[in-house]
Amino acid sequence: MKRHLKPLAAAACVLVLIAASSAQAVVTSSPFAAACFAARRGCRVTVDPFTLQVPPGQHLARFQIGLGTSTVYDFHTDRSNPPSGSYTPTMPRLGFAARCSASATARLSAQDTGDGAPVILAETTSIVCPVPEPGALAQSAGAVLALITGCVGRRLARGKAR
Amino acid sequence: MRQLLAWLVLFLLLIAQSPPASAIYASPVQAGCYIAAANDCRVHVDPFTVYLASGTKLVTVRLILIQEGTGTQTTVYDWRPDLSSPAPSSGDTYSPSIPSQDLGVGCGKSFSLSLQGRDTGDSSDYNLGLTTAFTCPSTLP
Repeated sequence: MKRHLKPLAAAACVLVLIAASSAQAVVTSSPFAAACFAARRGCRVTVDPFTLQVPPGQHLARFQIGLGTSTVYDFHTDRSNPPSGSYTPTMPRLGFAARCSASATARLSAQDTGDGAPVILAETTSIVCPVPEPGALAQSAGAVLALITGCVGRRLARGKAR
Repeated sequence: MRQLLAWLVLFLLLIAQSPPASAIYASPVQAGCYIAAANDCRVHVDPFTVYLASGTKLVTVRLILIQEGTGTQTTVYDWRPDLSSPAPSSGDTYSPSIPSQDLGVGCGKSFSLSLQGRDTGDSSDYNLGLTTAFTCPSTLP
């Protein structure tokens, strides 16, 4: 009986090692950092450049950037030539929309061709979006008011001309 | 010997009959959709390079959004070269500039992005790359 046990134990060890190595084979990322700032219209989140490392033999299928519980960026790769090795995506220059005066964590998740679903690779601590400046609010309120008065004025002028 | 000759003739005939391969191709196209403001979603495309057949010039580069479900195709980027000095001025590659403000799309919808192009040696546009479908966010986070 013991004779049979030895090869069985060896096979089990091999299977455990294979399972452990395949469990590690997910996309990894360089450190992930994000910031929130007040823009002309509302608040925005910018993400610092990062590099994704795809495990050998796999290709990058997609990555997502989330803010709180929402996905703000859903990125997909080429169907026939998805990237392998390392990939550094470019980020939208405008940044992503965020709610002012709210705080949320930003997270990066990615999926390679060997994964069934995106895996969370990195997460920031809670980012606080600033309270919009009263000046900015007054400015936008003023702009809206000017627009309304302009429209009303034009209508009145048109009415007089008739 | 006769058999060998017959196979050779057949092979040559097949080569002669096969259509000329398109030499234009591109680096992979990768893109994603994000929310820039309330009801303002945009598609961001990573830089790509178009490789032309030797000695030809670029005629057109297009980015086409294909809406999932409906299959509706919308050209969101249509690039044309200078008529008198078509690109590239030298070499056989060209990387068009992508708008820094990205490409506007409807929020809450899913699209795949197709890169199409043609050089002076082509009679029609070729599909140079296609992404899998990405989804545009529907609401502010």
